[in-house]
Amino acid sequence: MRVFLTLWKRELAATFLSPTAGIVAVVFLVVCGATFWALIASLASGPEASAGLVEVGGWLFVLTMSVVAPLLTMRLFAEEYRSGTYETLMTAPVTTAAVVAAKFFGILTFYLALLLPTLAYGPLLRQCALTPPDVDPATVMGMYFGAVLIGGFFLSLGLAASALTRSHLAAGLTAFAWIALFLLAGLIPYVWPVPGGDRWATWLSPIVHMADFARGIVDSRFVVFYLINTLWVLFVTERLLEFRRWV
Amino acid sequence: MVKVEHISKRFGRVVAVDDVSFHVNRGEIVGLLGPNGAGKTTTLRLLSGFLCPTAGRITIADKSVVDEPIEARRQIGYLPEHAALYTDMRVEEYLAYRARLKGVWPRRVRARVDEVMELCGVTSVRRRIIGQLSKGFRQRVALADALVHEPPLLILDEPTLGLDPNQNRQVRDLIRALADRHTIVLSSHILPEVEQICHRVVILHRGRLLADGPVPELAQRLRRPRRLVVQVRAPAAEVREALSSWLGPALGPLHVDELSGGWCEARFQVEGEDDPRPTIARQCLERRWDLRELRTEELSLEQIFVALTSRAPELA
Repeated sequence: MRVFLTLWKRELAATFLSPTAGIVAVVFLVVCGATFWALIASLASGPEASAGLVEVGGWLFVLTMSVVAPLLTMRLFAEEYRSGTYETLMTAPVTTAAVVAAKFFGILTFYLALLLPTLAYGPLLRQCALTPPDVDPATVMGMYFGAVLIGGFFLSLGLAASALTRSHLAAGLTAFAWIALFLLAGLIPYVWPVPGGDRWATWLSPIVHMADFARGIVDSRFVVFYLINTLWVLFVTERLLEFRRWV
Repeated sequence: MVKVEHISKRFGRVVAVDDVSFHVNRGEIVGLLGPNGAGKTTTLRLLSGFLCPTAGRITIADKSVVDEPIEARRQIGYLPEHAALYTDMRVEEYLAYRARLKGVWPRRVRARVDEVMELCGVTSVRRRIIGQLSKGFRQRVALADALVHEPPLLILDEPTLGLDPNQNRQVRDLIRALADRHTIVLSSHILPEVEQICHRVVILHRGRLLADGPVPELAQRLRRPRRLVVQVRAPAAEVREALSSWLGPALGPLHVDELSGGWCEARFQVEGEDDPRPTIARQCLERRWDLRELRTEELSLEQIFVALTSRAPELA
């Protein structure tokens, strides 16, 4: 545990110091702010204008994450390979699993820190609105819960891609391609109708999942889906790093 | 301390290390010598547990590096070839991080970091960002990192690579000072360096073990046949004839060049243990020939390896 905490702290510090992470943070917060503004603007013009807004919000979030996750994770292993510090790291008495876990939780912590400022939106709205809005805590919690689950899964894909190559660019593009494939898989039934395709799409599409979470519906199947997939990708990453020692 | 038994390592079709066995006793300094591409770095990476062997077994203090990697790595302080460090950290911050990572007791970390910084001469740059340090300082920070958890075994891959002569000497002195408390395995492609530091040398060539023995013994064997260079002011034909009469059957292949100003240069091999230089000097004096150069020519590492590969069974 002490080793994990040491590694985790180092990862967190490295992320906060990296210029890419700074730029990503700015872009992420601008997109979140713009979405929030659009939401308020459309709600202000009447409840009928806000129909389908939750889906649009879900799309925007998932698309933003499909760019943000590769950008945040691409350097995690690739940079260590490129600079040679991977050798220094892996010859210390640390397990590969601890290294993978520390890198994942390091970047996940940074991602949580990115979400933190958005918590100010509620109190801000309360301050500015003439009649304080009636907010359902379940929808707010569901939304953040979904953002963490889906974001965590995308970050794990990025981490796995970074373990494959010493090039940041190649790692980022690979992660983006994987995330894009995952997003497109949810769209297949609409493009190519098959019996039971709708169920497929519900199962695979993070946009549908995000919309559900945003309505305050926490479907345990989706929770398990993301948790298992994240763990599975992290496990594959660990195996991949072990495999590198043998070839 | 270290037992290497019949290890091989393949990268695809390339055989980097081929059936190498050797051992290192506690308290010894062993040099791994070989030209570039001989398999030194791969061997050290196998020892450190960074890579796993395709075949064979390595134990460090009776712990297998494959089956008990964490226990084995606790015994090792490893300095990789290019002193790879986190360039965004400060020296003492980095060393403290590494100490905690290597399991130094939290209350000991500060004192231990101070000790290794003092030992490796980096106390003056303790607050500096590693990325701004010179290569010599970085090498010493990496060495401090290798030492920070007081490992019984130090594995140093080309510890003096890329350093200027002054830094080179400092690092060599430091390694010698460390020998009191640590067993050391280091690699180098510079023969005199290994000769100066190591008790024993293991020679690798194209992934195979060519020789393993105490330094004086191997150096002695490697130096034969002796190559001499003589420059005298005399006609080439006379020099040729004189040398064959002075040295007799000990004279090997002889090559004489005419130089400007009546000088000529003879290069030749001499068989046997005796040093013929005093004889040559005396005879030149008797013949009243001006003598401006008389030296043994050190064999380059490449020549040594040519000699070794052709005489491998005799040396092994």
